[in-house]
Order: sequence, then C-alpha cells, then structure tokens
Amino acid sequence: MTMADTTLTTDRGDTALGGSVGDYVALMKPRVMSLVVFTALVGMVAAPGSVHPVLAVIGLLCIAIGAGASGALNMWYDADIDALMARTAARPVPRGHVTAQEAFTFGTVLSVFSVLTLGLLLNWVAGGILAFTILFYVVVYTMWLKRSTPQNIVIGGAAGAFPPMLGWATVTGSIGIESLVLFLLIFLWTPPHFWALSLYRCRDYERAGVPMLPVVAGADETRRQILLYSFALVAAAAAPYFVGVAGIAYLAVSTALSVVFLALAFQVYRVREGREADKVAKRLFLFSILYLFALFAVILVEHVVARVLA
Amino acid sequence: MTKRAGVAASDWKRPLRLLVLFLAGALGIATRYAAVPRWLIAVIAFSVPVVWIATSFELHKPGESEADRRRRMRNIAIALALGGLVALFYAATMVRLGGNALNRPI
Repeated sequence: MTMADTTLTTDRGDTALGGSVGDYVALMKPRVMSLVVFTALVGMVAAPGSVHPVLAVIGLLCIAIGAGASGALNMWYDADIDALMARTAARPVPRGHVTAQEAFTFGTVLSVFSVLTLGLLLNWVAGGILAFTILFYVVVYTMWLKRSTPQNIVIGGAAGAFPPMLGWATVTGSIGIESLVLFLLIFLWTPPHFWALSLYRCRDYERAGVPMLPVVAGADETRRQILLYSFALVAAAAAPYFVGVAGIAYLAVSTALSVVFLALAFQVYRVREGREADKVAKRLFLFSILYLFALFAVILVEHVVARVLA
Repeated sequence: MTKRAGVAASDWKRPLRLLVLFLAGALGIATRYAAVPRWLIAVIAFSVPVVWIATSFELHKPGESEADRRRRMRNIAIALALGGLVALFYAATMVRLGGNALNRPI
C-alpha cells in the first residue's frame, strides 16, 4: 500500500471537516518533543558561557518546533505504514483527520520557520545543526533507512541525539567534545530502547513491512544486540563525568541506574518465552525512558546548583 | 452561553477581565509613587490584551457546525501563533539591540 492509497482509504467525511487544533498538535508528536526540549535544555545549561534568558527561551522554542516539524513530516511520509500498526493507527493522517498533503505543508513551513528563526536570532551553527537534524530524521531515517535496513534505528537514532548538541551550540556557537559525549549517550541509548519496544510490538512491524531487527534477524538476535548495546550505553553513561560535563552526583546516579539497566537487559536476554518475555521487554523499554530522563535531570540539577552557589 | 463545570462562561470571564484591569490600574498608580520592577510592568501590560483576547473566544457557538467550529479554532490558533511571533521578534530585537534599536544614523 502506498501513501496515496492510504489517503484514499481514509474516512472522507472526517477529512472534509478539516483537522482540529488538537490534530495539528498531535502531528508534532508532543511527547517526543518534550524529551527533545528537555535534553536541549540540559545541553544549554551545561554549556560554558550564558545567553540572555529571552534568547534561551526562543532557542528552545525553535528546537521544539523543529522537532515537531520533523514529526509532522514523518507522519506525512509514513501514513501508509502508520495505518497498519496498532501503536500508530490513531495518528491524525491514518485516521483521516488531516490529509498527508496538509501534514507535509505544516511540517515544511514549521521546519523553515524554526531553522531561519534559530539562525537569525541565535546563531547559524545552531540553525545549521537544526536543519541537518530535520533533514536527517526525514530523509535519512524516515525515507531511506526505516524501510530498508534493520539498522534503521541505530543510524537514524542520531537524529534524536542531536538536541543536546543543539542546546550547546545555541549558547556557544560551536560543537564541543562535551556535547558530543551527550550526543553519544542518546545515540547508544536508542537501540536498546527501541529494540525492547519492537520485541513486544514485533507483529505490528511485521504487518507493516518495517524491517526491525526482531522481524529480520529474530527475537534471540535482538536480545543479544540489546545486551551488547546496553554495555556500550553504560560506558557512555559514565563519560560525561570524565569529560567534565557532569559531577560526582551524576557518576553515582548513573552507576546505580546503569546497574539496573544492565540487569533488565540481561533479564530480556534470558527470558525468551511466553508472556513473561513481553513483560520484561516492556519493563526495559519503560525503564530506559526513566534512565535517560534521570541522567539528564542530574546534569541539569548539578549545573543549576553550581550556578546558584557561584 | 457555554457551561464549564456548572459555571456559565461569562461568569468566570468577567471577574478575570476585571481583575487584570484592576491590576493594571493599580500598577499604573503605584509607578507614580514607588519603584515598580520593570518586569512586573511588562508582565501586567502584556497580560491585559492576552486575557482580553483569550476570554473573547467562545469554544462552542450555538448552531455552529463541527466543520465551522474546527475552522474557527484553527484560525484562532493561527492568529495567536502570529501574535506570538510578533512578540517573540520584538522581544529578541529588544534583547539584542536594547536601547540602540532606534539609534542609527539618518
């Protein structure tokens, strides 16, 4: 089924009404957007130097809108496979509330707006990284990798890892080794996070023809890869302390959480049959969200406290 | 008139408008006699039109079709976004140029 077919098979009556404001908000994937804004904020706060609070808010707004724009463009292109998966079938385009063309226009306008505003009002390094992030997510991940290789979320995960670099560049106008370490942390977090999800949503991806690792290489290989990437992630999670972007409190929290992460990854590797297997995969997926949030929250708190005490 | 949690819409809008007007008036008088922080003046001054506009919209109009309602709400969202954009560029200009905004050779 192609994207055009999906548009034809949607509920015509509903499309004729036009999308509600809520549908357009949903196009921007607000939950993903919130994680992007949060990690960008941490990159901003952790960066040396400062930027006027009004400009910082504008920078975050542009990053949020840029993330929302790429979400809308993703929904435009993936409307056909979204309609086939339970997790995504209720999105505005497959439901027929918004046409694919409207989603494309919405996403394109917001992309141009966010990049130009960030470039003009903050700096063009940040504007350039935002443009690259949107292009990478839409063209490299959505259009190319997602439907062609089981490594889709490994390489495509880079798009989700750029926000701390964006935040950093917004303040400094450059890319430091510290921001690259934060990038690496999210980059290595993405595979175990999404593969845990794909383990218990395997049939969805299979039906939609998306070559996720469990569909192509099987659940056992996916479990092995989750464990391997978890070791790499745990090493990357300690790195912010060693490059000086985080303090001792971060090291303590990251070590404790990394132990739990590894334990859950090992449990996923070990439990392979029945409903219990789905349950442990789901547990790892949910914990991975908490894990990333907690690591960045500690960095944020450390820097805010240091600034208050200075 | 719409109902919200058992209260008629105009019942909660009117006191809100009066409160903001009262605050703006009180602030205007206070600036004559005391040093009021500039950020507070900006917040109150900005909130008067925002509250006024926000309380002017009815979420549901009697007899209005769903398509018309959605179109109206989209128009309101676009208007608010454009207004926000103007405020955003104004604020950024003030921050970047400050008092030099009008200081240029003729």
